[in-house]
Amino acid sequence: MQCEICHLHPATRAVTRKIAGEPRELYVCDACARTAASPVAAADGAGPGRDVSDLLFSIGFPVPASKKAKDRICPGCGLSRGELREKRRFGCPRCYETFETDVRTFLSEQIPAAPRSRETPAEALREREVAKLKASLAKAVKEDRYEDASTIADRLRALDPDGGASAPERGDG
Amino acid sequence: MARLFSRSGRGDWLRDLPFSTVAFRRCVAIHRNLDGAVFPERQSPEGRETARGVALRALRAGAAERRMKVEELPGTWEELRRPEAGGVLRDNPFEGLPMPRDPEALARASFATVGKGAALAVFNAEDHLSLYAASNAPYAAQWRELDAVLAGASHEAPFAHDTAWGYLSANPDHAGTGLALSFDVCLFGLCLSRTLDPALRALDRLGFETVPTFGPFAGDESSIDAPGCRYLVQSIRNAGTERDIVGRMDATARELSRQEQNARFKLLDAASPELSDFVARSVSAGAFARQTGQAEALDVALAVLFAADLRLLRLGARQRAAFADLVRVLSYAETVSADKPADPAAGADDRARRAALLRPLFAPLLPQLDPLP
Ligand SMILES: [Zn+2]
Ligand SMILES: [Zn+2]
Repeated sequence: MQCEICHLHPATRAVTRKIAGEPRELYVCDACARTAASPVAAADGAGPGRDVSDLLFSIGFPVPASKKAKDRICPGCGLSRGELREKRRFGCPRCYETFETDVRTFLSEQIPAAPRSRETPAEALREREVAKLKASLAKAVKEDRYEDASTIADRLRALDPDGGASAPERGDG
Repeated sequence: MARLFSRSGRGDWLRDLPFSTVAFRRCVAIHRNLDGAVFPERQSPEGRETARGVALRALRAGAAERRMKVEELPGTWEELRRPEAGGVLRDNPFEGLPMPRDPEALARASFATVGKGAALAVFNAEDHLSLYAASNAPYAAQWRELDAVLAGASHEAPFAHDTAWGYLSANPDHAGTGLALSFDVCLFGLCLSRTLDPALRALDRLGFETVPTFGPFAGDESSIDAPGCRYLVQSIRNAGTERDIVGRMDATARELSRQEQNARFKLLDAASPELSDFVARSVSAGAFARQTGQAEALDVALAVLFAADLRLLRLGARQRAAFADLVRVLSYAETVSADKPADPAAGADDRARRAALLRPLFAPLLPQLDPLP
């Protein structure tokens, strides 16, 4: 039989966990037994060995039993696909892998095509890079290395679209 | 009365603008979650408390790098906003922020201010840490400051991030950049010149959500008799980098303000009878108020500032300041959608109290209204 948590791997063992106060047996794969053990054990009883990451991962309620075999459950937090679709809220970072198709659906609801990205880690880093590029651009121009200069200018434009090149904003006079 | 109109250094966001009644606040929110943690909704209470501790420590570290202090605010969102309870947030520009609409999420959240009210930190609402800034400064400037604080914080405690999806959040709308931007606008000009609909449709096409806003205290009635000129414009498409999003939002706020100002000038040029009717109605509604809802009070107060901008009413400096304060006090409420069920019995006291607040401010303006021929 398939693992009752991830529905991906064959179940290799039975684990007992408390669900709504009742002990229940679940057939799970090795991976899920390992990941599922920590949150549920943590939710059940506080051992002296618990550290911050245990607490951060501890979930506040039992993992619901899957109603349908197809109702996948996130191994990180026990969120089921049904719940996700109903509430449109993820439970933990691992939900983004577990429910990848749903992530795509949710995100495409709001974005037509453009990629999502971020500026890592902060504006400061980017500005440092821009400054560095500007310096090497000046150097390249000074040394008549125009091909290099144009490559650097492209990189600069990509990093800093409104830096210098764009038209200044019109004032109200 | 004196208490409601107390001077406040932070009220200036309203007065700074030449057209103080167009776009009167820009809000930037950034949402982050701790790496390796379940999102707040699925955490146990003690897990959430631990998360709050970790996020608070990280925030302190990030803020310290920018020479800012983090001060925890005791109490729930409701308590912090309540003026009677000496609401800590009263003198901050955080009234009416687009907070999570899920009441449970808001109820379990806790709060802190960063840099003497430059930003508001919210712990464990939908996300472990959300930072809000609200002022009439451009988005780019506000965002840069928050981003720098969070970059510092992430050295102390890394945030959940995925190479494909960006920053991760329980709310898919917060995933990616984690940025949420919004601004309040008052579109009397577009509304009166009947060009509001095309403007709202254009905003919709560009990926902005416009929500009519009203500012009821809890249990206040909704909008029925409000002219509906006041909107919250929210960025709902998060495509691109933070820089793209922030730039797009700044451009949109500017463009909408420009259109609104043009509409106002046109109305003025045409000596539009609708315009003088509107001003006369608004002044009268305030001057003779007996029972006034929050939304209505806000609308008539904004209408007076609007008329003053257009030189249809003359306001002395003190009068102007008093109206600006009135708007600030009235805006001090959460955003609710127009379909919030109304409870006509609720807040009857508030309605009378509010009306009593308006009358002495509006009555002196009556002589300025043109008599009918
Ligand atoms: Zn499994
Ligand atoms: Zn999950």
